Amino acid sequence: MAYFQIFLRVNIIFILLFSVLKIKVYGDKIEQSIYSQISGYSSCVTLLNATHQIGCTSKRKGNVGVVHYIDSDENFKWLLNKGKYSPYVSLFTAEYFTDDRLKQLINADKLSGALVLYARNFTINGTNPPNSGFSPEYPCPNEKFGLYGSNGVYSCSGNGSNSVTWNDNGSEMSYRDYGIPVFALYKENEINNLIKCYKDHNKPVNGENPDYPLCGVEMMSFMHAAKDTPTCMRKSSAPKYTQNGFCDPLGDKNVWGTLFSFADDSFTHNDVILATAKLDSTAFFHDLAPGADNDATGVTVLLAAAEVLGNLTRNDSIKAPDLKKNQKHIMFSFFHGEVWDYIGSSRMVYDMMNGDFPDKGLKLPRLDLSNIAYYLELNQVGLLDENSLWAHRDPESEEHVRSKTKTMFNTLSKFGASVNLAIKDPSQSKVQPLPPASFQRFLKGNRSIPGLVIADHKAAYTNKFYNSRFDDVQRLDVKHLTKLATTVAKTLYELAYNETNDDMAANEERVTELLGCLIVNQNCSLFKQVVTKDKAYRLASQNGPLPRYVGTDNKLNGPSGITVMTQYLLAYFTGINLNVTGCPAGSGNMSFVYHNAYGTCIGASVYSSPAKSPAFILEDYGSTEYSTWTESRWGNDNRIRMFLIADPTQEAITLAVGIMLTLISLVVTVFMYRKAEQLFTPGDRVLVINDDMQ
Amino acid sequence: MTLMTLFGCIFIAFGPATVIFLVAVARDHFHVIIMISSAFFWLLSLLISSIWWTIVSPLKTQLAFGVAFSVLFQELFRYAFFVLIKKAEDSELVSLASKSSGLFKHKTAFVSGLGYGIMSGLFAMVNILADITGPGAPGLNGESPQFLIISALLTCAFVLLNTFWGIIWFESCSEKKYGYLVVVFGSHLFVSLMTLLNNKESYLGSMLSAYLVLVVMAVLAFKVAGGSLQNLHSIFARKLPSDMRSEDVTVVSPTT
Repeated sequence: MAYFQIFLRVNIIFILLFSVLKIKVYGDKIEQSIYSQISGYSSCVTLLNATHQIGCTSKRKGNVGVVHYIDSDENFKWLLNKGKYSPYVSLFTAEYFTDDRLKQLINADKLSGALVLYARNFTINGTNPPNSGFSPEYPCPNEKFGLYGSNGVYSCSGNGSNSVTWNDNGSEMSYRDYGIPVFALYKENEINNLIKCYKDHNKPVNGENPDYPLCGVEMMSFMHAAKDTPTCMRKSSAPKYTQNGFCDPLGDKNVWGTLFSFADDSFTHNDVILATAKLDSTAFFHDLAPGADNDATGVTVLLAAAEVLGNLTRNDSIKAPDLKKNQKHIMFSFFHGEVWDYIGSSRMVYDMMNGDFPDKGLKLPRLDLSNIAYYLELNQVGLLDENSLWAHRDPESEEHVRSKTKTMFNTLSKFGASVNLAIKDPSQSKVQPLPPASFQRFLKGNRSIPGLVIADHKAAYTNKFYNSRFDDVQRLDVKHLTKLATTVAKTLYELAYNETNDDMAANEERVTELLGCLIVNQNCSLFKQVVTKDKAYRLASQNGPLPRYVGTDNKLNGPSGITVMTQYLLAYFTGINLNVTGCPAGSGNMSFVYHNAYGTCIGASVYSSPAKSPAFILEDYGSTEYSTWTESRWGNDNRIRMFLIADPTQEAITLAVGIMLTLISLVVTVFMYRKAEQLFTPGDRVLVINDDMQ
Repeated sequence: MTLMTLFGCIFIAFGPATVIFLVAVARDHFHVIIMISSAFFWLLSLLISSIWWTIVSPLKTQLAFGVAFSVLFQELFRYAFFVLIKKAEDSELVSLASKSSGLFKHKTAFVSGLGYGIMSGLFAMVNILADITGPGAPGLNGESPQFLIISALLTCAFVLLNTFWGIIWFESCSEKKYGYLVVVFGSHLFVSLMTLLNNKESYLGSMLSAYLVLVVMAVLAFKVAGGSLQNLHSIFARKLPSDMRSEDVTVVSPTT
């Protein structure tokens, strides 16, 4: 190979001079005529937790396979039973991309990779979601890290008398370790080229295997980490010359804020009402998680409710709470990484229990779990089940907590009814547990927090596309989201101030705008209006929704887009306009002070807190209490390219011709060299050297 | 799998040249130096061709122009190399070396042709070889799947052709047989221009012309170097050339 590399070096030096001249003889640049790069793809990634490895990886040098298009059961069966050119890379339409089919093909040693067609608006044939729904999530999301465990009466996966299988559509695809690369392709012309290549070369003729050359692809997305988080962290901490890390913990920042600053108070008993939602979502392909019903609806409603309350503080209808009169602070909190065993909420609970919340640098009074008077969580709320929303509660709480929860529920359903929104108790007929929710982590820390989780499902999820790339296909109803925002605002106000304020109504246009910005396009006027000028400028070049996958904790550019945007939105909605020239940072009790794109100085009590699992603080990578999810580092080369695979017989012929030619020339040369004196004897000539130099 | 193609192409394109070098040249340090200098002269011709192509704008669109001038420069540099070798023959060292064999002059011509050919072959083939290490084969956009083997065979032909051209060119220069110059230049131009047909996916024309010319040039070079059917026949007849004529050859050096 060294010989070959010398060739290459020579080549590099002169290639510029020569490339054009050689075109005359040998056509275009060879690589371009052999390979066609596919640029529109999104890959499945390897993640690790305390005990397992999930997701996909290619071999270090990439996986090569013969393309086989699976858009019918017939094609799938043909590949499974008749395809003889293993390994294949199967190209699935969305409908046929299922765990079952992947597993069958992998077990039959047929696959070295898989591709699936994707188009956000289903403009490409074969990208429509399956009618029966599609959720690559567990049937019991986050069960092991929740309140009820995997056994017992209320467990989800157990056979308890009160079990509910929350995500009964869940296929667990996201949690399989396929060991092959799996990509989603989303550029229409590239997809068409690939399918054409398949049809021209690989399509079975009358059910028989086609002849060479075959259409193949090479997929490269090598993941450095393997086995589980403890192994990976141990490997990462060992000194290495080549690489200083194999995986990174998942994590980001939580966003929280209060209507009035905590700064002048200190908490003695139940002084804070917590209203929460989750920021993240996921999908089999992390980049393609729209997180519409899953998280955008909850975020939208909570932000819209915050704006309603914020409007009242700005016109002085609401004053800062007087804790001595049993009034309470209202705190909004948005948790990140909840998909991955409640990273954000478990960290906030952990910090509260350790006296580290809020962060000591903020000089705010310490907030403990026991200071939480009520907890209201907005889960998936975009759809309706039996034409109503459902307020779930913990069935196992003590009597005095239960009565407070009852009060909460009554308030909530009363205000719901006042705007014609039905909010019902799912435990009316049969007592059931809380669905997977951040609230479970708070209850794990302190079982006597009264609280409700509002969701759009009575028992099993109404969202048939939970944590999938299709989460945004269902029609979300802006009207009921607006009503819910009003209801939440009124409920929070009454619970905090023990009085009713009928002057509250969420703005439907604002809800529409927020939802549009979150699930359709982040490059929208509302987003550009609330952030600073630079950020607005940057948003203008973005397209599509904000990424929802939590990502790793050590992001180069700070917290993820959704975190930052939520922080600005919350500040914009709950904050006040400070008419201070120069807009000094941290004026008064305001922690979050900035100029928005219109030049207004906005100040608000909005903060971020870490959303990195406590397992990584405790260095307990095998934890069964806290999330241990890490994402593998990626290989340097990630790509997919299409090409033709030549007949091995023809390749063998090439080699044979080469060897024969060399051997023949050997015989001829040796012969001529040995007999040179006799062969080249001129009949009558005298050899004269230098004859013409005289 | 395509390692097979890679090595197949390497053997086809450079197998004969490598064998010739190892068997006939490698042990002879003087001719190794000549071969490498000749290869360098080919590079110089390439440099000039490239500069010429860059500064004369019509060449950029018309490949045939570029090819013609490239051939012209290659042959001019072959002549320049001949002149250089002639000058070198004045030195004591060369005249000593030349006494060792009666075929010294022809061998010099032959190794300079070989050097020329190997270098041009490398340039023709290395781009291609570098790209065929991956899993793919040509043909995605309708290229012929035979592309690689054809390229390798053409390269092989060009390496050998350059060797024969070298022999004929030197002979014609030293013997002032200028007709041969025309033959060499004409055949070089012809074969090079025929390869332009490759763009039209038909390799038959260029292959046929290259190998026909190769056969003609081989015969011509054989003759020019002093070979004859009679000599061949006598070898296969397992006897020496008639009446040991080799003894009659006297080597005369004018400098003595």
